[in-house]
Amino acid sequence: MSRPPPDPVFVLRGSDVAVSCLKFRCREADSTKLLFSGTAGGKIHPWDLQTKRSLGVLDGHGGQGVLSLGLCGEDNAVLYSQGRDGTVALWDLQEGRNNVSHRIPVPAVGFCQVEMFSHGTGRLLAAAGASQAEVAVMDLRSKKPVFSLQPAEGCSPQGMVMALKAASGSDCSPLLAAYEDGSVAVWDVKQRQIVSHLRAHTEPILCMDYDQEQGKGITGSADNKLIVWTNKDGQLATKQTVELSNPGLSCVKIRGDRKLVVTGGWDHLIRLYGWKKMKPLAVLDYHTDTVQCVDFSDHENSVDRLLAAGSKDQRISLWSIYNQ
Amino acid sequence: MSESTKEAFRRLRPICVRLTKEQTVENVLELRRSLEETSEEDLQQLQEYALFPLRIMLKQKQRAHERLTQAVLECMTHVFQHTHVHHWDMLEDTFTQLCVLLSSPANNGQVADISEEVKLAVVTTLKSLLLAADSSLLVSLYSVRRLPVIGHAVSVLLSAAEQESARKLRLETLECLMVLAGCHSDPPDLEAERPDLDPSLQRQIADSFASFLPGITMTLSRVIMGDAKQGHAVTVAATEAWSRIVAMVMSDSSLGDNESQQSLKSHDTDVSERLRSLQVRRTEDWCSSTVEKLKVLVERIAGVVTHPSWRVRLALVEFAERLLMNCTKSLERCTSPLLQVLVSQVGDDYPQVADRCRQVLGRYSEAHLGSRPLVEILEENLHSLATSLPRLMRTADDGKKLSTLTLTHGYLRLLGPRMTSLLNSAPHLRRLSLALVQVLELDVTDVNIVGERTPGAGFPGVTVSSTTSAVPLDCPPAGQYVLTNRTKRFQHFQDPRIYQLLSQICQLLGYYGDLSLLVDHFLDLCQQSSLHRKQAVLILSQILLGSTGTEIPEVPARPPSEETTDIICSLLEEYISPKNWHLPTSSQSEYIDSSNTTPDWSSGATLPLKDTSDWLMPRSSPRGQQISYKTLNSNVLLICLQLEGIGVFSKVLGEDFKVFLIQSLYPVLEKLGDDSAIISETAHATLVSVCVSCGYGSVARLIAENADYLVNDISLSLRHFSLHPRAPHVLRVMLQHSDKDILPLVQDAIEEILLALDQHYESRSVSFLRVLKSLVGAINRWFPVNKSEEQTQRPSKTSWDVEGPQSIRDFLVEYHRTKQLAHGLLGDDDITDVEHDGKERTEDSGNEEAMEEPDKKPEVPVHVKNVLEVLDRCRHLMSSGDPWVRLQVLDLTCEGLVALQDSQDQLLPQVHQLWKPFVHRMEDSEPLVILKAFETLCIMGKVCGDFIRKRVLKEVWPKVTTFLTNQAKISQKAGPAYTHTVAYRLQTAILDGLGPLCLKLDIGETQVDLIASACLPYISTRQPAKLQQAACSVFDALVQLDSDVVWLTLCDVYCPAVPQPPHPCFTQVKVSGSTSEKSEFAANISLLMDKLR
Repeated sequence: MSRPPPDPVFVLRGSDVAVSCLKFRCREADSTKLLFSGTAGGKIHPWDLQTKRSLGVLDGHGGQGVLSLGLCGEDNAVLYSQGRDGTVALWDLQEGRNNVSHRIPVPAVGFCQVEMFSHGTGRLLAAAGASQAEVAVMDLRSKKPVFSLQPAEGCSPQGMVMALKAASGSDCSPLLAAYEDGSVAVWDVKQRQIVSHLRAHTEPILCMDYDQEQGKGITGSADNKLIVWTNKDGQLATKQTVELSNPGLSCVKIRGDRKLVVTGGWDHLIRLYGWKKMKPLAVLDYHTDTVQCVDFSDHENSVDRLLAAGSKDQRISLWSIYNQ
Repeated sequence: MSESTKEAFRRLRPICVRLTKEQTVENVLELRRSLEETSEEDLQQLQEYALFPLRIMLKQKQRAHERLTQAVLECMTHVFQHTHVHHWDMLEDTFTQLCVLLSSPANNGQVADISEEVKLAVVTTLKSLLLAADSSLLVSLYSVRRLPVIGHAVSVLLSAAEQESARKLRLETLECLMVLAGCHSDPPDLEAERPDLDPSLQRQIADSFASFLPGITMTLSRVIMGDAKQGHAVTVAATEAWSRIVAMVMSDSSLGDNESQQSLKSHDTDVSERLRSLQVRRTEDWCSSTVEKLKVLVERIAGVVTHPSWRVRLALVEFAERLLMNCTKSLERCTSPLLQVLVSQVGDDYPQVADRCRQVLGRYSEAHLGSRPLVEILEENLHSLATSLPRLMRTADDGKKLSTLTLTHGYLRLLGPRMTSLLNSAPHLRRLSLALVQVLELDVTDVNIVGERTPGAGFPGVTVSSTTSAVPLDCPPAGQYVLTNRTKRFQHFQDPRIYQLLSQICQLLGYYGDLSLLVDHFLDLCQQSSLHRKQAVLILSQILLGSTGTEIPEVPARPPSEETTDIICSLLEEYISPKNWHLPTSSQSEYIDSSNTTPDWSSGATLPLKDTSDWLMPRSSPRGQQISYKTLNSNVLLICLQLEGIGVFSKVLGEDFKVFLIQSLYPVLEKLGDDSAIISETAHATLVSVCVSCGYGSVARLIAENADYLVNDISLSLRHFSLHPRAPHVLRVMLQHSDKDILPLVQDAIEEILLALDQHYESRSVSFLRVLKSLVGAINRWFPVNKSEEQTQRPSKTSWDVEGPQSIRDFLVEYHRTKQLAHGLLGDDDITDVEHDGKERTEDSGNEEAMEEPDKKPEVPVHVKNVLEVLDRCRHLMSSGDPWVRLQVLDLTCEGLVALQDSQDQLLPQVHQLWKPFVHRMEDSEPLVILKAFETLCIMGKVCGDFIRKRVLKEVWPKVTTFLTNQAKISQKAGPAYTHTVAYRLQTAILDGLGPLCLKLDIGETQVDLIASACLPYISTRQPAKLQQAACSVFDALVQLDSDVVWLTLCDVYCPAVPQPPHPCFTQVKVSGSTSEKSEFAANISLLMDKLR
């Protein structure tokens, strides 16, 4: 008889609209440990993880929903947020400021979260392009589009780009892209062509995460499958399929130590798996609406590590789980 | 002889001559007067002459009259005070004479049986004589030869000092004794004339007094330890005398050189053997044996440190100082008790005493640091004290405990940071803590601790105002400070000073000691045994309070260290862990199952206990094991102490405590909602202290600003409701203690409570209903009903109340018109007119927007939504199988209806839905539920009378009238015991409520008649008085509605005056009522008829 799943250690309330994305910033030992949450109302709340209170509101997308949040720059010190207003905002949060320092226009507004990656010497940003199945790549320094990745006319993959993930390769710096038709493709950024292509799902892929070290990725889609695939020498192959009781996974995340995978689904549940064999570990039932985003914290001390899940029910649940 | 002397002599001579012949008081006084006029030099010359007659008078065999003796002595005193005595004869003679006069003729050692005034005069004269004597004379006075004389004087003086009762006399005697011993405090004005006694003389005196030392010390210590009633001055003087004489005899300087012994021998060679045997030689042997005896006495005298008068305590300090400074070597063995005397007073309440103590200790440590550091002695003393402390705490009485603890406190205070050596020694720390824990054992036998319930804990019938005023928002309740006494009742002592001392000791430990060591130790103790847990918590609180030093007088306060924060964090976790926090505190309402709470009916205003107990008994399920009330008391106290501890943490950390609110606020609020009054009040005190230290203006602000933490905990607890059954209570107290700003913050929690109620509606509805009730109550408080609207609701009626024929005419015209209208004969035009107008108006004003959204309603405020949600639940629970739940639901419905009063749009549909389940409650199996249902009906009538009129007439009236009619027959015959039945109360309630209800419903003629007939039996004088009154009030209301029908009904049973037609053309009206004044209805109907006119 296994133990019953635990309760959240805390629930952050006060977002007032659906929570769409989450990002922890707990690396620096001396500064305040923060969790950023972006909402469908376009606001970003930095939550102090000690007092569990929002330190303020960052409003930079004119009321349009926040699609993704991330950290970039040196030591991941800069917060960027991607809004439905078609921009990626870089935030200057040093010394109590909360201004948008730069704004990068991104071509399309869809569901795809932007992905930052290095190519050669430059830092690039990949986003879903304006036309179907296009990936637009921008230079972070000049904030201008550099090139775009477009599959050949009429060939798969087709449909909108749903997720992007950088996979550091030895020389070709491959980029993984997931598409509306349920397929995953490996792009060679240098050659600007598809290296490998795998039709994983029958429904649009909604989320993807990738483990660089083991060359293993995972995708969730609108169907009831969670698929683990491998990327060996640029060749994609399905490794494992996990069937779910309810269809629709809106988010998936591999923990930094590559031991745990968490998914958030339309069925309001948070599921935890062992990354190695996709062994189901726990189902966390707290939210009363779709779980839209999950994130693991990067506390230096593993005992402090948290899992956060944001949901359409306007709450963010914090869990202290499998962190011993 | 100078001229002035001659002159004086001339003046004195006749007086003296007269005095020798005629010995009267007047003559003595005259002598005195002229002596007073004489200058000192002259007086010195004439001393012998002036004294001569006086000495004669004293020498007379036959004792003179006492008054005369006194005058003589006073006169002599005057002379001695202003002259010196140069002649040995004069000194010896007068000295002997005075001693004889004072001592009783039968027993030389005893005081003579003469009046106190005379005794006083003798002693004063003796004193002034000694002071006046030349030092050369004193040398012979203190020679061995005179030893018996001195000895006699000493013994007489001692017995006077001990046995007399006059305070002044005793004081004078003690002073005289000091003068005799040559160690009195020299008055400043004499100092110049009489420099310090020459050392050899001093040695001589010391030698002779060595013989009397046992007697003097014994007697004086008896005086010192005498009853406090003797007055502090006597004790002070005796202490002074003791220490001065001992210091003189035993002083290091006089014992040091044996030369004195030698000189003494050579000096008095011609003294007889017998006398020599009397003399004591201050050899080393003698010294050591004397010191042994003195030590015993010193220890006894040291016990006086607890004397209530600070002057005595100050005298003791000086006593100790004198002995420590002068007899360092000789009295080395007494050092420890003497230091004890000083140390125990370092913490004295009086700065005079405490300062002097510190000064002395400082001087002593300076002077003797080389040989044996004071600290060492102090440490040694403290260690031995710590060793014996447990035993002392166990066996001694309050006074002894107080002195021991004062001493401990003094040592700790003096050692300051150096006390760590004691704490680092495990056995000593163990003993110290054992002693503290033992003495602080709390008294758990008081039944009140567990018995007192929070006011408003029982909820039905408690009005909104009473629940809200249960605990005021900002200031602590009036009984706040009585509280500390209630939780701090100790088994082993009563004196509050002991507790103060103990807490001071703990605070000192916390200030100077190693905090983490101490906390670890006591926390261990806390966890090891449940017996010690309470005391350990209490001690921990005090230790932490001391860690910043804010409560300790005269130490610099310091901010809490990092370490303190960590310690507090771990303690907090320990305190609020379920095993310490969730303890059963009442025999019925267990933490495990709070839905079993036996309702506290006694506080329900409408439901006295005795009536309801019979049917409620089976509810409180017999528990498997009964927990003894001592255990419950102990649990209550432990929780209180932990709460107080949390308050202390906040005090220690100040603003920094805010970090801990995330963990601690919820548990404290949970306890605020506890049924036990003591716990609830303590929790409130804790909250107040948290408010103060964290800088919140009020408890309401504290709750509002931290509502997110609370809501989080409530919501998580509700997920496992069976484990956390108190979660709804937390929301309840949150609502009770907050203002309306909190409502949006707790929306989440409210929703979850409602959700949880839906899930647990069968088993746990009681605690949910309670929280919902407080929610609706709070809403009623925050959004008061708009009063003006209520008033305008009543339509102005009785338009034809005007008297006179004109009104009758108007009435008839109106009646005719209405009747025609009803028959459709008239008014088609009028009606169409009205309709037409209406249409036109809507067309005029109707612009497009209005047409688009004709049903658009203003947004429903959040609080109204909440109430609607609550009423939805009421609807479902109204027919619950549990009468207790039904009662609560009805109660809640009342509150909800009141809250919706202002928003009719929501109210009416809700009432419509409620009606169906509600109307069944009017025929409930439980009379109490019917009672409550009727109350609810009254409220319903109040808020929407028109709306429910028809239903009431159709569905309720028949039931009510049947009940009233049937019950009237029973109550008519019933005896006085009937007034204690539910049926009686139901009758009263219905009759009380019926009048206003009818008014609100605005019922018509037929209904008035119906109600009047039903109530008629109750105005019979055979009914209980209260029912008669209530029925009369119904009639009063009915009169307002339709006086004619009432008149007719009343006249049917009793008609005091047959109405006469106003004009012969009318026929005589006949009424069936009797006109007899003896009718059972006569009294009440007459009253009502008066009102009708």
